[in-house]
Amino acid sequence: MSLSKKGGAVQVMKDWAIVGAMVVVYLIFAVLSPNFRTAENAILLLRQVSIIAIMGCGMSFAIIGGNFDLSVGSLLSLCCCMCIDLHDKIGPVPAMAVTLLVGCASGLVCGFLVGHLRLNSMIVTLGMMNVLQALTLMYTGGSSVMLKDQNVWFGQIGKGSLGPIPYVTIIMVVCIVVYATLLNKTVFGHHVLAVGSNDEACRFSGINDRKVVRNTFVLSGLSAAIAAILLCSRGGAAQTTIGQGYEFDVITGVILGGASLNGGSGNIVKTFIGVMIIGILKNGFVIVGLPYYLQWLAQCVIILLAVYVAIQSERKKGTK
Amino acid sequence: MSLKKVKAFMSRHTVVPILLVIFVLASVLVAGFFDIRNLFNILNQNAIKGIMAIGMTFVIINGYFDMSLCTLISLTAALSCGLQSSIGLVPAILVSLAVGLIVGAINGFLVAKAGINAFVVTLALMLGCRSLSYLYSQEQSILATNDLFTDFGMGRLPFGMSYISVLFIVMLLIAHYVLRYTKHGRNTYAAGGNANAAFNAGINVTRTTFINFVICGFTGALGGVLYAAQSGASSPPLGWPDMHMLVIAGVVLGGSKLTGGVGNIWYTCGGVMILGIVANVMNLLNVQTYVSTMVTGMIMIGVLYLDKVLTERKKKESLTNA
Repeated sequence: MSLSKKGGAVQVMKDWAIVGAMVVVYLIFAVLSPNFRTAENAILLLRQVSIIAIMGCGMSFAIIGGNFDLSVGSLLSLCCCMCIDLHDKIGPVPAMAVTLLVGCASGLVCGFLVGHLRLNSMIVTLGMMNVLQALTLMYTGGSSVMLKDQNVWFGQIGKGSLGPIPYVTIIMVVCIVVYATLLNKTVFGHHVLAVGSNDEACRFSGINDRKVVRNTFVLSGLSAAIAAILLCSRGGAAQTTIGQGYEFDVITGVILGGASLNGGSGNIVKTFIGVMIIGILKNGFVIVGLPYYLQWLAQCVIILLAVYVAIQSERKKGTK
Repeated sequence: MSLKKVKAFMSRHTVVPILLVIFVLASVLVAGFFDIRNLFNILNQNAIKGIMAIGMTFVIINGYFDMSLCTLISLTAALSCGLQSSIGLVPAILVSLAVGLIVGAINGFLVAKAGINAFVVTLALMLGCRSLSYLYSQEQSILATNDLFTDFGMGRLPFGMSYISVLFIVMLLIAHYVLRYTKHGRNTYAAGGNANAAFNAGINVTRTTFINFVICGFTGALGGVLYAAQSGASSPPLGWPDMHMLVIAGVVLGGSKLTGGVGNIWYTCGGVMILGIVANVMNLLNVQTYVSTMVTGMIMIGVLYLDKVLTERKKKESLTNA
């Protein structure tokens, strides 16, 4: 942070070039389609990205700590199914509490395996992905679950809005603020950044890196559980495969946000911008009437461009 | 002496004892497992995954990994099925393999030359291939029309081994030769172990990495073509979303390290077979799919932990001996 201040306004602009990219992508679609540039669509967009953005907050922590969490997609499925099913059995508030606990517990297991036993995070979370998928099927017996009464207040969390702004968007903003504060303003956040850039040095300087890594996974699981509550509340129902493939959308967003996959750097707000770009592409391609599968090609090009530009500017900094 | 040698061998190649234990347990506890036809079945079922894992082994020893595999196979499967009616079987296969080479070359160029993180590059290419695959197939399954193609995919030798398994074994031998006895193979180990040291020793690390990604693209494309041949059709979601992870898991469970520099083609073979045996046993025991998924997940974590423990013990021993 202090470094970028030294470089002045130019450096700040370079650091936040991703915002420019988002604006450009938005403007392209806004020019192409009058339906895209309406205020309703902008709000819809914010509603659509909220799930991935919240998961992105947690994933940012895992990635900044130097690990991946591939299990969030399956965790999302499990939490959605549990939350819907328990809502009718034990009431909405306990159901949500249990869902959050399940998210934390899953994160705790991953965190224990990666942090304390020092196993490779990719394979561990892949294994957890399988286990969670199985648990989801076991819990539901393979069928999808639905709220008996669709008009309960629980559904309003996902569907309702405060004035023009949906509740999910408000929750998303709160999550981003909390996670960003946690990363930038607390001791724990600084430890995460330190462990991600050099875990051995941290161990020697007295940081308990195992605990830090474990906690990043707990945060990731927690954010997946929060996202699950919003997702199932909006739908009022959940299938067993509802979260399949979400992990890649989330990771793509975090990458676009400029977090280094080697750990040690990253920014929650930029992650949100990255997720927004993906959301705009998804929404835009549908509204303009192009086949939905072209958005992946666009994502491919944008990721490569964004990362290439980032590396070039990084190199220039290095040679100065 | 010989016992000591066996012990040393076991602790150096942790996949051997793990595989042995799983194999013996399965043979004793599961009726119908230790049957020549079933054992060939396991080989046949995992041959394609094994072929893709061969290419992945090269990239992983080099210190990277390739995630674009999972949608590359659906793209090449679609191409090989769709083109064979219009331009003939052999050109269709050649075009599919060429696409694999091109994707591998793009991966290799961006990782080795441009220096972008392999995870990012191959994730992006994964999205790109997925898009192209849907675009080409228009979200439809494509049937393979050529009989020769499907005959090869489904055909078996008289004693139960499929043609694809034969191809797998031949490719294993070639890969073993390349990794063990050629300059490129040794360069791969050197680049994966310590890229800077390899560079300073005069090894062209960029070219080595590039070639390895091309190899991985080729085996991925071949895997896609073989899947199409085996099932007689291609489908757009083939391989999505976790085929590449299963392949990487196979390689890593064998004992190759994701950090690079350590690995062996027979490890890969063993790792793929561990996953294959587990799936087969679950089938024989007639358990629900979700139990099978769960056990697979737990075994992945368990094997990884065992490998860790065994390797660490070896390290301690070598320290005390020194």
